[in-house]
Amino acid sequence: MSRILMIAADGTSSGHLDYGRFRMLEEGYQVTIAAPIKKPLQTVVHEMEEGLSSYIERPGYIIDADASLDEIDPATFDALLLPGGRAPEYLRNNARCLEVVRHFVDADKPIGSICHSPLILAAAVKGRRLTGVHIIKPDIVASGNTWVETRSEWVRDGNIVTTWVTPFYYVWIREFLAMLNERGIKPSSGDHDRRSAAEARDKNHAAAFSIAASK
Amino acid sequence: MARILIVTGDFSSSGQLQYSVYRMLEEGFVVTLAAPGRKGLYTVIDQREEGRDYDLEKRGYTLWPEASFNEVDPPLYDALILPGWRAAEALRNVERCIVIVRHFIENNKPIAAICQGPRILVAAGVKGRRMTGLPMIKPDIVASGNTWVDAGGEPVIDGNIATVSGRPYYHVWMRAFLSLLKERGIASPKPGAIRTRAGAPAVLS
Repeated sequence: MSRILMIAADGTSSGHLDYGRFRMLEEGYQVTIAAPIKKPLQTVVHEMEEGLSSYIERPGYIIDADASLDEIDPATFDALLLPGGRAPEYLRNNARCLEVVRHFVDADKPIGSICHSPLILAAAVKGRRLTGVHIIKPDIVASGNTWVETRSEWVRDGNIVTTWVTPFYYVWIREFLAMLNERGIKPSSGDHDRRSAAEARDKNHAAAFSIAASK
Repeated sequence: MARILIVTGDFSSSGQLQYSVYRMLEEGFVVTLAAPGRKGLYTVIDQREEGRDYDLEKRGYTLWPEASFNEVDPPLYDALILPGWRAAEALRNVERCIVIVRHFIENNKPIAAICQGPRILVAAGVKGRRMTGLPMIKPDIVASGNTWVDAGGEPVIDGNIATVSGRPYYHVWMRAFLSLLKERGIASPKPGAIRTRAGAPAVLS
């Protein structure tokens, strides 16, 4: 059974995490969201607003982490998805996070990264062509990687696909899936398996609907 | 060329709207987001917080429609998506919205609805169908002469209409809708093409 790891934390982009997670579930992959601490994560919405020269941040969906970074064994996963947002800026200072990411780099397993999350990659790779949100360019260059200026296009370098920003989730995931497909990383069969992970995760939310409906 | 119409408005669910828009773009379809007016839509993060009986609304991602309802010519489109949350409650009272939705019903074109989205379908005259959605809309479904299904995380497909309860089943919803499109031979002309939405201004630039 093919398993996808997503690394997230408080401050991860709501849009990136949602699109990545639900797309993997839609394809039939098993998804694990790992965070520094296993707890509900407060994701964020980043957006430009009229009159501001940088983005503002608002709270997004609360998404439960499935596991802590300490308790997962990266060797049991086939590929890694790194959503962006503000979390990568501090996750790159987390030794266990880098250890997990290095496993995917060293084992040449597919990695998909977007927006701010190439900051984590920059702490773990050298000599690669990467893109992301343009304001991280200094980190990419200083770490001995090559910055590629993009808009809606993706950048593929070996096992790593990087893309620009929200809302180009679909460009990111399409290329990531193409890479999984090329490498024969197939989803598991059986609809039941694919749904159970999502069901367990946001069960609270569905329960809330029932409670409200019964009042 | 297959074209997908998404009908929405302010107070649509951020998550449902985004997943459907970008999923269709990923598939390579031409997507038109239509709303009462052509301005940035105020979407919401629809989620319950600990200790509350029901969802609190926080502001979600802004999406820009390509067209206002008056600019939409329904026969140009092959299929319809109705995201949910509170937008649907208001939109079912908008005459032009109902005219648009009725086209898809009468012509048996694929329709995907989630959460409160089915309220628009019943207001547009859908009768005698099996549907699900956000549990609190059950009275509207029943009163309009349709059959309510407590579906949990399963899709309900009745003819050309696929309905799903809501978060966290976006993937179940779009999988069911894509299977309806496939059955009817509605395919992306260029599956590998990256389409971007015409109406959206540059983001984070």
